[in-house]
Amino acid sequence: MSERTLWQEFKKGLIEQNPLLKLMVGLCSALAVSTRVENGIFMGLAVTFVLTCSNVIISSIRKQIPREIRIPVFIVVIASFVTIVDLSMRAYFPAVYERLGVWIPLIVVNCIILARAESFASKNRVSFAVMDGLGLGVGYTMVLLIMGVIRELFGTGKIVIFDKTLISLGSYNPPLILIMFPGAFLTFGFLLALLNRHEMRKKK
Amino acid sequence: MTARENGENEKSLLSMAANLAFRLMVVGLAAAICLGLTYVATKDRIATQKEAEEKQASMDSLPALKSAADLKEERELEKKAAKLEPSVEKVFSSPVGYVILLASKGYGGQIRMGVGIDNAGVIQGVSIISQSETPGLGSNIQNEEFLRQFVGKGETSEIKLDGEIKAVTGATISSTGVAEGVRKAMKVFDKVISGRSPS
Repeated sequence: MSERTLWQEFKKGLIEQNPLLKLMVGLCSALAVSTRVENGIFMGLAVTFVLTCSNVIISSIRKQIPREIRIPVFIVVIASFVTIVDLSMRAYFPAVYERLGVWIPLIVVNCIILARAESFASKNRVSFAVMDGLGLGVGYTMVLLIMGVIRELFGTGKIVIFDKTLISLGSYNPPLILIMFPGAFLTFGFLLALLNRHEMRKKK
Repeated sequence: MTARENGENEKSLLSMAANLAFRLMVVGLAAAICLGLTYVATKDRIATQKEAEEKQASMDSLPALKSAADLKEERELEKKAAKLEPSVEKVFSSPVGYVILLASKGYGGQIRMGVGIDNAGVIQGVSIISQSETPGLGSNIQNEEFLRQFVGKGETSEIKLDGEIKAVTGATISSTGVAEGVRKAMKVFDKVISGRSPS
């Protein structure tokens, strides 16, 4: 275990321990906001920021925090960062904030963050905790973006980011189911299946 | 266990509790300071954003209005309106009519909107400030074709889905939410602003 490098700590969050595809935590908000690529960008940034910052703080005070009060401390730290994101987003990106709505404050109870605080940050050095947070955050964002591209492109016929239409399928008649709740499960299910198939083939 | 041992146990338990409480307090205090600073730093911007949003919605729903500076917030009317319809957020008056900002329940949450009504009680426009309806479906309530249908209506009885107003395809609940909001605004206008008897 002592042989770990910082890069390994970062890389594991991308595929091997991807929060959505492998650990299967924080799925609720991911399925809900992945209707649009733009949502995925901001939600991903918000989660990565909160995850990395709370990992850093929790890792750096881990020796001062007795076991008995660790959970309340984690929650206070996480909730503070979420509120900071919440307020700044409302001030600087009101349009996106309106769309992400309740999911930003709900990052507080997102299991990714509490799970990393409990199982990683409270037991590891700060430098590792930073890389862990960044890696899992990027992994999370990546999946949101993939799902966002699939659902927005095929569910609405175009991809719009910052009011600019990037890709348009023209006179394509989009199946609305993709941007509704079942679409989230279908897209996610197929992604999981693809990844699993890929890994099973590699093993053979 | 002797009385003395008991006392010592109690003491160590107390000191442990004090220690935990102190540590928690330090963390809480640090968090409070950070949050306070963020709040102060973003407070004005959030207020400005909100105001700009409301002004824009008001301008959109009262096309005859030339400048947002002509809008005057009517706090007295707001209080009365809120008693009648708790979802009313703001009431603006202007030389060409009134704008009522309110929230109505949609499919995916609150639909916040502005309803412009001229001095005679006729709807001049409806604009959506914010909504969280299903993208590509319920979110079409923001489209001009849907909102345009409300213009020119002067009686609450005229605001009826699939009678005078055609709902957005596949989004009946969202459309009902908007119609409900417009009806509320008219009720507020009739009872609170113009004082005329409700139709």
